[in-house]
Amino acid sequence: MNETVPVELITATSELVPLPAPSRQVLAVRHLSRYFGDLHAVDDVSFDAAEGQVVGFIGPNGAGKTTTMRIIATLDVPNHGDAIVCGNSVIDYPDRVRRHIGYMPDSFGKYSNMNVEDYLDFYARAYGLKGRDRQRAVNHVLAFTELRKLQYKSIKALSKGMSQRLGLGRTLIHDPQLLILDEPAAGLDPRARVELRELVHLLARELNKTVLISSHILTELGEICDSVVIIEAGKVLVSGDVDEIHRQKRASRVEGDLHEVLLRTVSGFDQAQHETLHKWLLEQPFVTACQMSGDCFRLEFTGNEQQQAELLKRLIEHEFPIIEFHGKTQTLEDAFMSITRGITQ
Amino acid sequence: MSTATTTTSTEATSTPDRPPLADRFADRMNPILVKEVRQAMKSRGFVGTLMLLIGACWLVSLVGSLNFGSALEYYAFGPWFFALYFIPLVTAIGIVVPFLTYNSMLNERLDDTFEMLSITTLNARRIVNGKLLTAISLIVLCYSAITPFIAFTSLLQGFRWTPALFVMVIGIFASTGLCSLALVVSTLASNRLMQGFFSLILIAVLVYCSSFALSLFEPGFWTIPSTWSTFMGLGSICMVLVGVVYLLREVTVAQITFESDNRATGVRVVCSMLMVAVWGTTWWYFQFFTLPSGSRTTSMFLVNGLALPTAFLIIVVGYFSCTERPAMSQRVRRRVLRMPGGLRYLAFPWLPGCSRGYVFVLMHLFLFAAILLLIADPFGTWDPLVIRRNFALAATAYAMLYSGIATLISRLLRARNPDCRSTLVRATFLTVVSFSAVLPHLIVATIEQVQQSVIGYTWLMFSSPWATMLEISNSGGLSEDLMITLQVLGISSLVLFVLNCRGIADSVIEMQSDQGPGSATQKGAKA
Repeated sequence: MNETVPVELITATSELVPLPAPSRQVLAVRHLSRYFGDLHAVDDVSFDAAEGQVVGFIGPNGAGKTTTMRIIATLDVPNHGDAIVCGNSVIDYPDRVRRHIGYMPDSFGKYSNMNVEDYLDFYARAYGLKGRDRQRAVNHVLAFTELRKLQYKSIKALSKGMSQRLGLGRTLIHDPQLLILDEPAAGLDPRARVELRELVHLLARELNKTVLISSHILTELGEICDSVVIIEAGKVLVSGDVDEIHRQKRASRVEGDLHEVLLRTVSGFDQAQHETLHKWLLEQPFVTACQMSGDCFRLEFTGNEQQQAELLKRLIEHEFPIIEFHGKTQTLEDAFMSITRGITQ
Repeated sequence: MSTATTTTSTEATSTPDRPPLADRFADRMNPILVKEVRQAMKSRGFVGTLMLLIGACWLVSLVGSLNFGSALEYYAFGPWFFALYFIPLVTAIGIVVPFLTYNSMLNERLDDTFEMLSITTLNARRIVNGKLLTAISLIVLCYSAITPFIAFTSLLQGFRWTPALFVMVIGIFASTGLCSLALVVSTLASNRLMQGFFSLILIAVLVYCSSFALSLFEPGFWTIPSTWSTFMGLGSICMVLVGVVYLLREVTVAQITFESDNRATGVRVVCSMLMVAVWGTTWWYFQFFTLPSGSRTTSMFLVNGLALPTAFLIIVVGYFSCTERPAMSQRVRRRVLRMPGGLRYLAFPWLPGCSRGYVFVLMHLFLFAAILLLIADPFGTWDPLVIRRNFALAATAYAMLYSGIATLISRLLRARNPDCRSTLVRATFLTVVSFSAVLPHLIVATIEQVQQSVIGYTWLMFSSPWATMLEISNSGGLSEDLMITLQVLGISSLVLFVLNCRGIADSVIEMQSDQGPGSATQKGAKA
């Protein structure tokens, strides 16, 4: 954890190439707290992020996501706790941390009388890149974000989607290891959202970047995140791998929890047989309702996983021709809704 | 969107092995300077101003030449043409360039670009330096635009290089000073209404200063002799302006530095340096020029050269230092703890915190008193009627008193609410000071009204610096009431010092461990 990436590596490797180093911890947030008077915006938040990992930071409005991100980006200082980026404390060594992070806020300002290339060139200079390194970094970012064709366009005239690409390009210009993206998809149309998602995916998978991303569009986060941190009223409610959270939610299900089970019979099962199955299903324990639609049945089930397995066993024992049987796939949105309580500060 | 696309695009736009000379030169420049000059060259505001400047100079040249014809060769038209070229130049460097600088910094904050800048490797000082260097570049551009016209003027009768250089050199420094002031003003306003208000104030100040520059062209101006003392004077003025620019730059840096970082040390160090420079220069002048002992000229020289700049620095920096938060932020405290013990305690008065600011003010006040004694006594200038020692004593007592009050208010308000803003502390302090200064006058005026008689100055007016200072200036000697006032002021200052000793002790404890009074306050906030 104390390993610090040499500054030489950061400044010299302006190319956007994957780092050969093995997976290691890039971000460690430890008992972070930030108070504004009586308001506990962030209260004892802890989580980690490893190299090449996409971490979704989700929570309702006012949950403390942006405050946490700003602390990690060295724009604010916690009252308690610390955040360690590539082995450097955000409190003690903000200058070193800044070399390792790229921060993209939900909205960022644009300079007048400046085109796309000049904008990236300026930030490359601001990060201390010189000569050919700087030119190479600007070219790589223009290519990566597909802004090459707009390089001479005034940044004030860019669309929202292109502005977000430019913002992402700016965060990448010094080849940081950790990207902090605060609501990057806000205000984007569906196509731009998909493109942004692909960019984030590419950054993590191919360039081995660690991405901390917050968004309200949970379906999208679910697709790109390796792990999530769900925060509400300044406190972390759940954190960990997305699959692990789903598994835990399923495992923690107790008798009385309502959820959906879907089953499908072979095609060609006639109407009378469907009716028989429907009636049989309604007689089974923990089944509170059953909807039939063609070959598919949607059950409202209140049992746990064990009781679900017993239902399947009985279906097979009764020789019903079942070819599909599963609980409804939990989305991140479902997990979010079941974990959070809608508390606002 | 694939890696293949990335690679192809990169190859297609491969960069040359050695960048052009201009690029290599620009690499060594402050990034803000490069960006701002590029923007200025594309902005209609600056390019328009430059065009107007050149156009106005051409117009003056054409109209003048056509109007006067061959008379230009025989009559002293040099000063006349120089003044006419100088008017548009002063407008450009005295109003337009400072206002562009102000706008540039204001827009960084308004457009939310400043935060993005501050998390790059550029720190606040480099950002402000970049803005100032840009301003200087624009000033130089304006000067270069009128250079051909000045060259033309130098050929005319009546033109003399010494006054022309005098005014042009001061123009550069004064304009840089105005740009620094504009930068400070741009960081003060936090909302749109205040920004509008400050914009108007700044424009008024810029117009006033620019019109003041034109008053240099009084009849005696072109007779400035080319002597050693003229250049000494020019050097002194430039030194003062450089000092002002330095101080204002540090104030701007402090203003745009995050509250969690160290805002105080830079300003205090520059303030100390400036005071030492002022004291050193005055001492050197005493050695260099043999001023008549005990004369009014000597004492006025002392007052103007030594006391006024020192008082200005102590009042301005003391006002801000003594109203800071008492505790250092977690980041600063940890940084201080990494300093070697001896150095840490030596740096005590220059570190953030109102109690340390109070010690800073007291230390400089006592140093100033010692320097004054050192300079004044050997020359026999301690004549109470000339140097007005009582004036200095009262001023020192008032400085001690008010810095003590400011520190106490800051500590008391922050003890009630750790998140109390510095603006509120400063407003409370100003209210207390204004009230205490006005109240005695109201009481005395009421008594005079009732008794139908003139009371004049009484020791009850000790809380009004204006009344006391005026009385000392008028009476010269020490009346009974003045004696009592000085004693009351001295006792009050001592009482306030004792009341602030707890804060000073806390500030020392804070520098010994990570769990200082600051962390205790934060824990309190959590509880």
